[in-house]
Amino acid sequence: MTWGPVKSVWAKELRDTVRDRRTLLVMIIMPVVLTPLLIVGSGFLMKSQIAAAQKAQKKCILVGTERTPKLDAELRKVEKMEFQTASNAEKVQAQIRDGEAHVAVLVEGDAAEKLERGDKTTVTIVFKGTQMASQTAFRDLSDRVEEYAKAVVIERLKKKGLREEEIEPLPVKGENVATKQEMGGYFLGFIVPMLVLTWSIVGGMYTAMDVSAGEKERNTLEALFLTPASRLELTLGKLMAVSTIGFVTMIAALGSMYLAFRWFPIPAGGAGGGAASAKDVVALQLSPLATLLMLGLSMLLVITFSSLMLGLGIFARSVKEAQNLIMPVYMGVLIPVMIASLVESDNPSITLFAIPGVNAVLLFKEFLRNQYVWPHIGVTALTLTACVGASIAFTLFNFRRETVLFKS
Amino acid sequence: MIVATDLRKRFKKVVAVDGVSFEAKAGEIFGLLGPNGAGKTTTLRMIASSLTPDTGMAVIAGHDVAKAPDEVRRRIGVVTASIGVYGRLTARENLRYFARLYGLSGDDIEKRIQELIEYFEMKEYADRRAEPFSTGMKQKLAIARAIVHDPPVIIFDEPTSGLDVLASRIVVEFMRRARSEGKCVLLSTHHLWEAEKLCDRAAIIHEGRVKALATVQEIKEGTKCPDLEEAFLKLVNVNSSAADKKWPTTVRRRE
Repeated sequence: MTWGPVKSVWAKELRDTVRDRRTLLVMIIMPVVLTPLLIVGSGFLMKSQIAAAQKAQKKCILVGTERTPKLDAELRKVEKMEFQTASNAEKVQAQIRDGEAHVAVLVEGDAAEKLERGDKTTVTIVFKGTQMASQTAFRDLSDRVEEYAKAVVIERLKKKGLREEEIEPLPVKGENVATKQEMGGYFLGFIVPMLVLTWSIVGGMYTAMDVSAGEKERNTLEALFLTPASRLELTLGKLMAVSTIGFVTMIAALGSMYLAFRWFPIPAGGAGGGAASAKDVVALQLSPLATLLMLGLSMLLVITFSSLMLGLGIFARSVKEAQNLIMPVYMGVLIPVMIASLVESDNPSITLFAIPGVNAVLLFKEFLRNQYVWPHIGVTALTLTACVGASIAFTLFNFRRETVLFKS
Repeated sequence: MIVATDLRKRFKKVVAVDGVSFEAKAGEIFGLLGPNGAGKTTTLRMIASSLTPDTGMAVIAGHDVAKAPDEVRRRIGVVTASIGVYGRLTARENLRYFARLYGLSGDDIEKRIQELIEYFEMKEYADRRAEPFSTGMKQKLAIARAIVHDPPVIIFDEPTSGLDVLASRIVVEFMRRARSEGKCVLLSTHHLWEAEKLCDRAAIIHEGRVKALATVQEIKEGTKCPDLEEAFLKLVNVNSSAADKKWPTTVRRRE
């Protein structure tokens, strides 16, 4: 084998890909624009919608609150809300459903007597779960009802000569010791592995199909195979091109996400939960070692998927058939990986690191939290290197098969 | 230049080529003639090293196809009916890519490409992307690509199928020119009138077997037929012509 033909095929396929608008769209526009838009944009959209819903003037129907004047006064403390009273509770649900009002509060007929006796009474808040303004109104009114309920409890305790502390002797105070980087890593641990996996497949997908099934469709493959370049040289050249595109796409996606988080910070407390400082924001902070390990791991993933797609692409008669073959593989890889990314474990079993794809997700999570468990890294590296070898052997086998090449 | 001996190839239960033998020399156009499905393309693919024969052997310019396929590929140029060129590359880039894969390097590549561009009169569109090229332009590019390494053996598989008169003429003229340059030209076609005009010698193939192998004149004389088409029909025992058959009249129209 010589590197001359490999380099020629690699350079030609890259040039061919860069001149293809469809591939460029998938390679540059989608990862660079869509990824941050989806992650950061959707967060901001949700935040702005909530803010808009909070600012909006809402309508509330009160049914029976005149019987409990203190509760009525508490409810009316809610700002940006217009109240109207009604006597017919039966119509209320339809009114909320039809959008005549955002929310309604229903108090039982004998509520005052029950409260006086020291019994409990139910306050029903009718709202529409699919409407942001209605949800906000529900939360605001629930808070007021809870506030009133707390006042009732304190009053009842006082009557019996008890203090508030006696009924709540052990109040819990949370103290989060996770650092800013760890909180960021916790949040990003769900997103980054999915992004890497997705773009390492999708990034090179069109190129893989174009340089294999596409060549068959355009009748250029036979001419290529009639050159003295060996099948190994041609396969490696094409694989290098697909892997390059996949890798560039993945880096572009991660880079744009990094910039998006820098320019539009998301609060870590909101993202990760716990008692993180309100000033802390989600940040992709990686040590040089983590960066190096993640790049190495991504490279192995990209080569495996690129080779697999190339092997399937050359098996297909047309680009359409190649799509039909590659998509189930893509879904087959992505579903276990999605499940793994949701699994939360501080010390996952080492056997999980022998499952290709799943191991990458778990390792990415560890790196993002600044954890380096060398047995995990070793098993993953071995497994993925074996996958690279097997996928290249599969592709080469298909490139050498007469029946696959002249399938029509 | 080309020596094919007892080539056989089977695809599952179908015997595509069943003991084909022939020899084609330098400075001649040798025809592999027969209808579609006769086994011509499979024979060419075995000679060109794309397919491995089940039995038999092929030697090209002194190199055994089975033992030294790379050496064989360096000495052949193949032009097929399905003209595939890389549409997103220019004509020049298409040629440069293949020149590199054929092992050319340095200044040789650009000199050879320029020579081919001038020979095939492609100067006007040499630096334009090949996607919108007409069939004739693409055919010129496909031929130039096949001979970019100046091979002594040129194989044409149905080269004029689907081409108009002008594009066909380019191919035919090139084949004649190649013969005069001392190249060995192997032409596979089912256009027997075309073969009659071009071929010095020919093998008539039917159902994977050679039915006749001689000069065109000898085949006509041997079968006592005025042209190659009639000779072919006689050789494969097809006697009834369409003129003798009854016109199918089973469809009745309403009055």
